[in-house]
Amino acid sequence: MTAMTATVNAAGLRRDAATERRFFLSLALPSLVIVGIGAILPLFWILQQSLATARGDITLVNYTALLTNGLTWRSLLVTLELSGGTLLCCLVLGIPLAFLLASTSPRTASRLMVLVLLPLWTSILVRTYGWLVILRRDGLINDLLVGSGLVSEPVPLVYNFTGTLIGMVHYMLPIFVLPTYAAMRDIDGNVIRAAASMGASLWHCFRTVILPLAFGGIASGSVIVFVYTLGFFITPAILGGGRISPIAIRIDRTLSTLQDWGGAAAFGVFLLLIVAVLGVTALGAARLIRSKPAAD
Amino acid sequence: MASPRIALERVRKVYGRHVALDDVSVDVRPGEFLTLLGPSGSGKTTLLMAIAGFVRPEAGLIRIGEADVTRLPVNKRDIGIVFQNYALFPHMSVLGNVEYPLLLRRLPRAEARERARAALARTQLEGYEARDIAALSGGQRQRVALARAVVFEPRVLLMDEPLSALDKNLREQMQFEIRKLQQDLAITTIYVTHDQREALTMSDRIAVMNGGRIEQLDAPQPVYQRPRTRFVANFMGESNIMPAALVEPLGSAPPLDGTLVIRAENFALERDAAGGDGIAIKGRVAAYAFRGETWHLRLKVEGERELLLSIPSGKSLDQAGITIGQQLTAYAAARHIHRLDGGPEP
Amino acid sequence: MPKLSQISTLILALSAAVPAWAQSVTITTAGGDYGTGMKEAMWAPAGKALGLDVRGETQSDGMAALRMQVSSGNVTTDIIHLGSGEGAQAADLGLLEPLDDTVVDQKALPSGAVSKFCYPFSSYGTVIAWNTKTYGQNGPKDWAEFWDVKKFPGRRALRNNAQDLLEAALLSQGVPPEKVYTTLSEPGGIKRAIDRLAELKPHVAVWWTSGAQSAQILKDGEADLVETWNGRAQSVKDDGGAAAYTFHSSIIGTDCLAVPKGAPHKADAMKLIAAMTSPEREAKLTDYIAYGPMNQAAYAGGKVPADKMALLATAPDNAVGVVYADAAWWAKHADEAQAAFDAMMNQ
Repeated sequence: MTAMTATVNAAGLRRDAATERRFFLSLALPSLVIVGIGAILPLFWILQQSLATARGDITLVNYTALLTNGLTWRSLLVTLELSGGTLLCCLVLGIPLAFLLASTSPRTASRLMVLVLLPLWTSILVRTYGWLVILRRDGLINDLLVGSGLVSEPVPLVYNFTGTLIGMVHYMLPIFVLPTYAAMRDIDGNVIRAAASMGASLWHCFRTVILPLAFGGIASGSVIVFVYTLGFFITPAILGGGRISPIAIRIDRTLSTLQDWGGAAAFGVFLLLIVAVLGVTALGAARLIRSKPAAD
Repeated sequence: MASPRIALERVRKVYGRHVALDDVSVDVRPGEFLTLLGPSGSGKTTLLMAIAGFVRPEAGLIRIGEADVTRLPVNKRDIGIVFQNYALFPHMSVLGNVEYPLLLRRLPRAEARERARAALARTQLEGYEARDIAALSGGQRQRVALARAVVFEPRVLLMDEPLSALDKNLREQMQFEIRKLQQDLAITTIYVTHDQREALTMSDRIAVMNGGRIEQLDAPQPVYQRPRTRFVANFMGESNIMPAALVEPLGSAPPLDGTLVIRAENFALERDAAGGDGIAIKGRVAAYAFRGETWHLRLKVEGERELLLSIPSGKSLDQAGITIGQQLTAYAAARHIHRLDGGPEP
Repeated sequence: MPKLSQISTLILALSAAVPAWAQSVTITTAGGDYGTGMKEAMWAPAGKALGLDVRGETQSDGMAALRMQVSSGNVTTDIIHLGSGEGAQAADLGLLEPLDDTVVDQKALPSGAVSKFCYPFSSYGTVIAWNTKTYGQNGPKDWAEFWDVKKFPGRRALRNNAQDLLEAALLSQGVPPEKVYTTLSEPGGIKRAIDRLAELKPHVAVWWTSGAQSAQILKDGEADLVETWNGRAQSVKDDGGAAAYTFHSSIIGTDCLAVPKGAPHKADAMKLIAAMTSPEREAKLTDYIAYGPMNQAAYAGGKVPADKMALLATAPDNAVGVVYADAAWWAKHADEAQAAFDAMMNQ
């Protein structure tokens, strides 16, 4: 009898469960289609281009040319310098900013948040040209510096590495601050109070309690900043003054000046691989550090 | 070094229009266990946080020992604090948590470890040193928090509803453990709770707070038996507050006036219980309930007033003996009748 | 006009994927003032006269768009506006339909400008411009002086591209205009020009990538000496910028119109090219932008007013001592030249 009762209505219930699963799967379908058409297909197209000669034969010549060209490695170095520099600046500027946001009242924080996010809502071109206006020879900062007599000659702030870095940091800072802020906001205020009550100064408290607890947010912010900036184009193109040639600029150059589509495609695949390798490494490292038994 | 006194003088804190602390003055004696008892919003936690240094008062003086700490930052006050939700460091082990204040004081690592282990032993946590905080039960976390708060030998100890998250049995056990630890260390302690029984069990003295003021500051027994205000009477459990005109003096009892307080458990249904100078009140049973050790009765008396009675079960009453609407007379001895200071008729 | 690449392949890929909805002739130009001028002066009236429904599209990098369309087999544009260098390259890659000589008349062009694939219709000069606050009206009169950092100390701005700069580098060493391409074609010719550029490199403050950027640099005084296009230099002057420029020893480039391989309305496209490049319509283009007509008949009979003539690179009075950019040479040597240029830039 028990066996009988166990199967009562079982088929119908199983069907219901399957229908439910199918329904939720179908919700994801549009985005899967978009990703497939918008991202995966072009990727295959680029891959095919990179392996084809102008006449359409399969070849590795694009890759050998790419990897034997000193300019490729130079651009990779510049790219890593820019991404690393941006990340460093984001850490130095973003962590205190996120801390400030997390430690003010929710009301003030949401207002400040709007200010932080404002740059994200303006076009990158507008922002980048804005920096040009501020940083150039007769720009705001140089006017102030020269006007106040601090320097006699305008300081070269733009059309070089410095200018490019400033533009990139400005772009990435909100993107870094968001996960960092979220992680810090989730820290129990009493934990910080407890540390203070035991005699920890603000700095010590920050170092021994807040930073370790916000590590997850900081790590994901860092990975986003570093990986995202590996493909930066507009900022170095406008603020680099032709001197700064990271990978994206080299790809554009290969494509539009040299008209070498195969080479550009191979370069694109190269960048993609670098992003993948660095991204996976960074995430792996972050996981490793987090899973490590807590330091004493 | 003996634990110092804590003296507050006219401490005031206002949030917008809400007066959180209304010129509170209190003197906590060296080594004393003082409980701030009150409902939420009464100002008890604000007062504790002002002493800790997390709340900056608008006015007033806070002294620990002879030193004025009112304007001293938190991390310089040398206070051990146990927080409501334990506030342990989730990224450190049990030992890491307890060592934290010692390493902060630049103790040699070996000595810090030794002292942290000793503190953990005191709170029955030997063998848990390497555990993750997440792997501990609520009671164990509470013990870690306690060990961490006292390990660095702070001058005073503050606790903010430390047991509110624990279940009843564990809570009662921890009440005794905390009290014992406090007495062993002879550390001046201020303890915040909204649980009357907890306050009565643990404290040397209780400060009942309401609306940012201390309504009554007394040892547990007087607070329980001789509430000075209507609020304290109500807050300290099942009390009946009534005009004296309602009761009927017995025997040699002098006529009563003003407002009287009689606790529910101090009524009896036998004439003898009232003694020679007690009182009696007549009424009808409006509702009754069995509560295990007692019967709970609602007696409707003159003027639509209800009287709360808590009668020991099995002694003078059994279920068969009660019916709704039944006429009863409740008696109370003179020593259980407490007269409120002034106050209007309820 | 060079097609300045400021746009990623992804955007190109997306725009190329949009199918042609209407059965009309589509013309793709670079947009901006130039594109507007081409529409108002040339293709809109020409389309009207021919009774064609013409649709305009904008691509900042026409060459990339062309390649994308032809290689993906989804050609949506019937006429594409290219630089003549790109036109020669595109022809080499087989991306263009040959022009129908019976429809498009090549006889009106200066000798040497004739092309089988891309019909030149306007010209511009790569000129020397300078900040008049620094040098007054007496700027460098040729490339030799542009290179002379003793006589003209100051910050230079050059285009981040080998094109025109190789020619300018040789001119600065006294190579006569007619010998520039033979010298470049000699063994070591490109290296000679690149080495000359490397000499100037420490004095170059900005290597610009877009015409708009070169104008901004000139206008802001970010650089004192700017290699730029005459139209850009003139617009800075017109805006009241402290700038002057000279047509002397400029390098003249041309823009052309071509029909992509497999264009859907090939025959109509040929007709439209012929109609939009009539002397009157080319002359009218100078109302919008200071690019000289290639149809020499446009300069005759006062169709271009005298004050305008003074601003055009190919106007008879201006085209003196100049080098006509050789699209064929560039089509053949661009890879080598650009690679050498990039190597120099990254040193």
